[in-house]
Amino acid sequence: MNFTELAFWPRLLAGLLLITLVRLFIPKVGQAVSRYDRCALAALSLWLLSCVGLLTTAIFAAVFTITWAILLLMFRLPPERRKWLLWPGLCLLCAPLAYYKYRVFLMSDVLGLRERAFYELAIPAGISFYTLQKVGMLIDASKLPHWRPRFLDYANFASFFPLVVAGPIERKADLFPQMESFSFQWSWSRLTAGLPWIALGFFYKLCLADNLSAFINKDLMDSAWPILLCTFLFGLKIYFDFCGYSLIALGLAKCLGVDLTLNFRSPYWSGSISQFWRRWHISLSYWLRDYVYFPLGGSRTKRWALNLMAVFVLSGIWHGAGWGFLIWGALHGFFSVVAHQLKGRVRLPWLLGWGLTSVCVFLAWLPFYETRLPILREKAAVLLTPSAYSLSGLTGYLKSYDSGNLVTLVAAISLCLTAIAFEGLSRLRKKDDYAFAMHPLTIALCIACTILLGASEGNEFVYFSF
Amino acid sequence: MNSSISLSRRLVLIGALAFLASLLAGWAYTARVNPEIRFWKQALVRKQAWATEQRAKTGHLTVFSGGSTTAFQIDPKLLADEFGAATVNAGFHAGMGLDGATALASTFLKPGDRLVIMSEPAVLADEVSEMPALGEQMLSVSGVSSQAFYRTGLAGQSRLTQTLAACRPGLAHASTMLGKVLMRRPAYRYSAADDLHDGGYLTTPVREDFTSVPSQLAAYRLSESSKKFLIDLKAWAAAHQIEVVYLLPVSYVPAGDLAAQRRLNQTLQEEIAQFIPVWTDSYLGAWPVPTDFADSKQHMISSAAAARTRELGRAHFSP
Repeated sequence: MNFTELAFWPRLLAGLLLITLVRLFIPKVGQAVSRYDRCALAALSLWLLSCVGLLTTAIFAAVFTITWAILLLMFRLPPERRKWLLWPGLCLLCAPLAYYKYRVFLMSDVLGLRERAFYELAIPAGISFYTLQKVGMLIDASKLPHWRPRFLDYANFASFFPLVVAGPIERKADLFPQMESFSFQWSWSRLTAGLPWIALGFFYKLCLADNLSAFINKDLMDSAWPILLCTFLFGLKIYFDFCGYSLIALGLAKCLGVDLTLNFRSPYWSGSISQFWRRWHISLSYWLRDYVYFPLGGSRTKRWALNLMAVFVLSGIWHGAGWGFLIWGALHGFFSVVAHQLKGRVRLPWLLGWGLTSVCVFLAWLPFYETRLPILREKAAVLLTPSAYSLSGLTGYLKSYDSGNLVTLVAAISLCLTAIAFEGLSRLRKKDDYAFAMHPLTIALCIACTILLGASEGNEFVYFSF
Repeated sequence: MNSSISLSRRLVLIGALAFLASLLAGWAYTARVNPEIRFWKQALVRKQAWATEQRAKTGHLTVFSGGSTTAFQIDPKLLADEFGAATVNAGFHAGMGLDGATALASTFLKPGDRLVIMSEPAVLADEVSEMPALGEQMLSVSGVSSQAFYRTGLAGQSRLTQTLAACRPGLAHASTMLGKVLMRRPAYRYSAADDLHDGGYLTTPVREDFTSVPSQLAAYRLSESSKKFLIDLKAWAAAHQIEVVYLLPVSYVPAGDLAAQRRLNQTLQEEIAQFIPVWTDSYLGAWPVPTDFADSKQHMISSAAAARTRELGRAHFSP
């Protein structure tokens, strides 16, 4: 569900109001209120998801049912035999994801088949996120002999509306206990725990990310400058876009008394590539570490480099079915292998480490946003040509903007860099990347900037297409 | 405990106040300060005064609706003086979108009147799911009568949420204004006192050189949203006894591209004719004289606009 869509909020508020009103008439005996709260949350989540679209709801329902069926079957088996069911179960669970997300890529780009029908499939919203969440839960369940989730708790774990469409990808151990004890209790403390995150999230998305969108022109490539600027702007945009969404999800969940994983921790202040991956899309990074990297042997085997590469290539492919995403993953895998190899041998000053990491991370966004392979090759060739960095190329490119647009571009970049600077200061002073946003005046400023300076044309969240 | 609750309440209160104050400030800026909106509001008032005057003379009006292309090429005073035609130029800003411009133009109409849609081909080809912010801003601050052709809920939103979402400056506008202030440039490129004339006709002393404009053929087709717009407009016009026609506005096209561009425009015109009647002319939206245009390839200078208006008068307003 799109939190920046105006229609979402009246729906949510109407749902919450109805739930709260009905709750007044529930007899306060035994488990009645608790069961009502959990039922109501599941109903609210499913209703909000159904508003996204029919295909999204149908596929979610299919994955939801498959996972529950596998869980039930698993619990009938003795613990030592559960693993027999795990692999077929995981294959079945991932089948809708493979079909909707990777079919076109496999048939068209890998096998070279070009049939029009391949291009007509829309990817159901959130499928990559909730499939991964359920895969993790099934793997955990196969290892826990005495765990028996109740259907209602499973339903809430699987469909909790703030995270179902774009994460964070929560783990069984973190979210299940919260779903088991979930209650609709309104309090000032819950509201104030959530609202600052929502305000900051909206500011990141509507004021920062969306204002950059107008300047991301992927078609200019006559010199290195427009490619570099576009790549830099995309790096900023994707951070503020996805971080913004994650912060709104976090804030919404906090208002309901649920703690979600903070998906970003000022990643652009990372002094090394491994640090970057501990701060960027944290729930995915940790999921890949625990369910792919460690089972492969992690860094304790001789083929650790291969393991690292496999994890990052998988991360790339998870983001999207295309060579560009694969190259992006492979690049990060390569950077990580090199960093791992040099660890302990070379000690860089923090500033140099930060500079190198930033250059690597930002340049790697090029194959991520440029999904057209021939164009990507051409752009890479331009970037590797020394003459493409001429001063005349730069002045010519800057002249292509009229003065009004140039001022807007500078203003948008300045706002983004200011936000990043605040994150860095917060981290330095309070050891908390987003502590600055918890101050009442910052909240007021974020709200005012979002309303007064937010882009007039909305853009869908980048991660919705994954 | 008590102090933490009061702190929490203060935080929510500050957030709520910031929210309401920002909405109010955005609306006040749009309605009172935004130079673009102020200019078009003044234009609307002048056009309305002219329309009232013309209606008193002849009873029925012909209203030309569209973007600034229309504002720069139809001279209602000339039509009144030379052909005795009661017309009003309701050309506003193409950025207001088809819906915004037509809603404003429709406020001039009464049963028996005629509405001439002159929206630019690029606007008709644009796929839109909601009214552009500029159109929404203009309608919000000028008010729309219940008789007007105003389609709410284009994106499933209510009028209030559309207005609240639109009436704010945005970073692009704010930084552009800041740039203008710093560079001591006028707040808006047109002035109501100098550039706006009787009937809503617009001119500018600014001249740009279009003699070396590169060849750029443009093939436009009606977007699905424009088709829906034409269907809805036709139904609204029938219900309000308004005659609706379409007329292609002209823009500069280099002589070498003239024939090809006219063929392309004719295709669009034929597509439009499937929905509403079309007034055809020999220009077919393409005008080959670069010096006949002022500050853009769509904005005619007064002598060219006079020639264009006269031909229109001879074709449709001759007694």
